[in-house]
Amino acid sequence: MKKTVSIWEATAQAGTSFPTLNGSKEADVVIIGGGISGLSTAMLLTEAGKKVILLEALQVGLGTTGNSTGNLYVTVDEHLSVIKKKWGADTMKAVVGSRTEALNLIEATIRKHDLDCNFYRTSFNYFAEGTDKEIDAFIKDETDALTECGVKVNTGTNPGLSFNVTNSISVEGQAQFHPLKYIRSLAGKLKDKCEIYENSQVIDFDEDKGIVKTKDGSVKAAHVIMATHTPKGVYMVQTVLGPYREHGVAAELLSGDMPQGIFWGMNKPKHSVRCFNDGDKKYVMVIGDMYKTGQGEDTNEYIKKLEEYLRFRFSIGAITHTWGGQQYRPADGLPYIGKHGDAMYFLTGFATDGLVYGTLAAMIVSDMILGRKNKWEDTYKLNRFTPLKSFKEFFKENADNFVQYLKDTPWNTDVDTLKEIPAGEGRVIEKHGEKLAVYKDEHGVNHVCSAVCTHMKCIVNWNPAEKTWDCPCHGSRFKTNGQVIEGPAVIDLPAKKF
Amino acid sequence: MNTLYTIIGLFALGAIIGIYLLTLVLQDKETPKAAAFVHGLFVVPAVIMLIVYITKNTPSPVESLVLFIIAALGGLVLIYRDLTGKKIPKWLAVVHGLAAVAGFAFLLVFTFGH
Repeated sequence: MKKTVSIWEATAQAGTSFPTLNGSKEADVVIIGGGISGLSTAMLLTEAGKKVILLEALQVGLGTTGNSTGNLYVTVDEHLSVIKKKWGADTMKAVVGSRTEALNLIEATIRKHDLDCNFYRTSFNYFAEGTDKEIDAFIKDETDALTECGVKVNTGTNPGLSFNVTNSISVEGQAQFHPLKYIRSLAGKLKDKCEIYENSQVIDFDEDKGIVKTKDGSVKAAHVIMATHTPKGVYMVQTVLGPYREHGVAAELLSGDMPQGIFWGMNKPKHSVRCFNDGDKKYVMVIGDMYKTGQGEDTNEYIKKLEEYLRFRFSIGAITHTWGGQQYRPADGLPYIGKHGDAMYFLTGFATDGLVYGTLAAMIVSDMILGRKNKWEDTYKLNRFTPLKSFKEFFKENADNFVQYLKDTPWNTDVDTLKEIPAGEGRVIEKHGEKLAVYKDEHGVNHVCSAVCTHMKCIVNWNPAEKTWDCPCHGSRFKTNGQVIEGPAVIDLPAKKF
Repeated sequence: MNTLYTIIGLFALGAIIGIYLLTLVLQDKETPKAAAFVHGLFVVPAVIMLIVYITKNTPSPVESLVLFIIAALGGLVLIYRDLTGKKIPKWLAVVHGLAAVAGFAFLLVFTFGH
């Protein structure tokens, strides 16, 4: 079994390698983050003649995009019926309209650049198992909402799944692709038009001067785009975002069938199921059972449950791939996209809908930089103040953060001695009043760094499934050596001696 | 007088945690955030109670309140800088503590000197 490597990473050919930023550069626009948001923005701005430099901390596509579902759809994780109740019918229609344009842009990009990424149009399906009045009511509300948006809907029948389904909604004209192949081939097409740098983690930036610094270089630009899922640093927008994590599990289908399409199981906890054909191998995968980042009791348990979910419904072989993906859930149900200050742009709060929302954000932000009015920018504007729509989630997330701080008491640690840490595991330990994150590798060597998150000082927790240190407050994640993987933290966890 | 005893008790509890926090700051170590917040949970009600006492009584320990407000402003700057990843100036932590100690001393003199 391959641990924590997504099926996309395992089945995509190596993409173009890009250099590390070295020295001082200047550009019209610097983009931080080489996922679908960053590369789509780079594509749109270079097409318009702008000089663009893109900085990726790790490798292009291997952040959130390469750990997603590869599903492209016009509805949303929050559900259209909920958006309508919160925001009204016009906003709901704007969501569907804007996401339709973004999905069409993805398809047009694939056609224009002849990107090999397994793209095809297919159906999106909600399905229910067993009788549940709440789900039946939801299906009715969602059907009405989709119909009001002009989307053709079929309801009631089993959409082709091999297990018993009691209720469903099907929407045609949606799409699936291989997200990492898309990103890597798009980056390859862009390599002669804009400068892309990998392994170029941003460690500092000057918001006012538009200067972004990495370990070995810097970029000065009139516009700085944070295409990093959540903005890097400490910002107010983070008080209206909840960081959550889901795992994915894939296995080869031994017998029976799994139709093409997007399938969202509406029984709680929610699951997203799809198949993927890699040559003559047919995989089925499930992603779901989300938990707040850094707060999963034992993240291996989530993977076990996902395996059970698949085995109960399909005839599968051994689990071939497991992975995890992060999402930032907006308090009022809509992403936050727009300008912050004089030079910065934030693209965040996409929940699980980031492939399409990321592309849409690229359209909006590139229009803003090019001085064009985008008809969707007001729907998703960054600086909106929506206390009535946000309060419940705002309170829940920030009260939870406060509780996490209150857990940071003196002497409150996972273990008291290094001997208690099993090989291949990590634990928080205290020495001379400092909390330390200690990972004991398979050879018994301890790797020690500070356990205090460099973003806003919460104590990180061990994620055994992915062997990372995850912050339970704002979702920053770190490698066992302390290097930032994702989240708002800019600085690595400092190395310490025990 | 019972109100003043309660205020003194709360400040004393806050001071114990404050001394612990100051020792960590002076050693360039991270402070446990629960301790920092509990420190605030003791001293903020004490300051509010002191304000209420001063508005209702004459004579009153006004000097003490002024010093505690200076300490509180310093405390706000300290926690803000700490949580946003900025370096905590040691001098500010010391001034914050000294202002609070001076305010506490004035309060003790006022309470037990009468």
